[in-house]
Amino acid sequence: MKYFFSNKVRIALIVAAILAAALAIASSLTSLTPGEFIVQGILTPMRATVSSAASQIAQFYDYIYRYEELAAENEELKAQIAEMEDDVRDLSDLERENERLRALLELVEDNDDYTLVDCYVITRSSNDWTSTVTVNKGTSSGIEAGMCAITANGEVVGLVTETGSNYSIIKTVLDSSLEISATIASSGYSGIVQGGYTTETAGKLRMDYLPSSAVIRNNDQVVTSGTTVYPRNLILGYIIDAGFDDTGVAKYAILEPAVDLESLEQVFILTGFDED
Amino acid sequence: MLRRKRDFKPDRTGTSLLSKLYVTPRQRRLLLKWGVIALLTLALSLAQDVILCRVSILGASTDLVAAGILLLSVLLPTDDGAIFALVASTVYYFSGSSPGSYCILLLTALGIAANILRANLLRRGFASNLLCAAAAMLVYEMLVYVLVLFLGYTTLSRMYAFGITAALSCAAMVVLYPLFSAACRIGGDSWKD
Repeated sequence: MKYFFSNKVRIALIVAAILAAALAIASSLTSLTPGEFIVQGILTPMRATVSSAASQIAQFYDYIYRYEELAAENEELKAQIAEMEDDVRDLSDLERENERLRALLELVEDNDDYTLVDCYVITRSSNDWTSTVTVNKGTSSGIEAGMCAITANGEVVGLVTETGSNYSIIKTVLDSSLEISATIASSGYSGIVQGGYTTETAGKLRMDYLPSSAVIRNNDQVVTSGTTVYPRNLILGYIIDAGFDDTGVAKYAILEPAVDLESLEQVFILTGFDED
Repeated sequence: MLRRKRDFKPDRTGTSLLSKLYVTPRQRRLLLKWGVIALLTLALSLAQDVILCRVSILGASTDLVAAGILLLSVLLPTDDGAIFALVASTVYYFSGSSPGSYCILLLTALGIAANILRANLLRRGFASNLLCAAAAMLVYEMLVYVLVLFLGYTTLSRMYAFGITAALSCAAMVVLYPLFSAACRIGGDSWKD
């Protein structure tokens, strides 16, 4: 037995004891000793290579032996994703409706004489000479031709021109055949607003018969003047350009419509209001 | 009539790099042996750190590097085994996979002890080598568990995990034995007993 405890063995044991103690102290004082830095620096790329190869092999194994299981899991997950996407769409719809209803509540509180019927846009006009939208309520909900349509924010959408028992067609403010008496809110100048659907100002409104002395500013709000059809102070649009008309004795203004017809989803028909 | 085979090979006209280094054939075999042993230990380390660490059997994993160091310590001659255990356990500690710096002392001491035990009490062979290495492995895992428990890194309920680790590592030794035994025989047998 004594023969086996040669000098080398004794030295190895002593060095091991000293190393263990020294490294224990060193590790408590520093986060990374030079030896660890060198050895781990050499081993890290090897570990990365082996890990990458192992994951490739595991993927191949899964592909070969777990194909049916993975395919079934994939179908199940697709169905879950489709269900979740439906939920997200419903949620988005509900959020938008919530915002509109909040705005409508504010509108109704400010105008307690308004009687409104809410409806949803189901189609839009698809020709080049009229601008109309169709909604999902009609005479059965108390809607008649000649009533005006607005948004929850009090913006003018247009005029109901045709009704059925469960649908109504609204001619929008962009339609060139629609003329609305309007006033510039800041200055009080009055004129007539007409849609520019078939004119060079397609997508915009044109306000005519403004006095030549009228001072017109950019972004001035234009509202309805108040008639038997349109109550007062409904928003038509905002001035973006102005000038003298062909006669030279009156001014005109070009308006950006307040209502965004492209994204319009819900419309409110004014079935009754106090004209005073 | 067939030509006779030449009896003598002509002298080599050029010299190889190894002959310029004045490395003898015995030294070459020695370098090859230690190179193979180093590569095998490195492969064990990579297999343990990258692949087997994700495999859990009964809540425990293997400890291949310690098993390999102890097995080689038994297979090699006592002096060589001691130096190998010291160097390998030090590199094992620096690799970041070891439980602590105390593994340097534990693996060196247990490797030497297993080697001396086998040389003194048992005849050289597969069963005796494996038995001594496995006994050293069990003692190593037990001592590691006691130290880790003392340091507060584990609880008494985890004792079974260390036992399973030791058992799995001993089973791995059976698989690794032929490979390590062949590596240690490179250059011929050199046991002193």
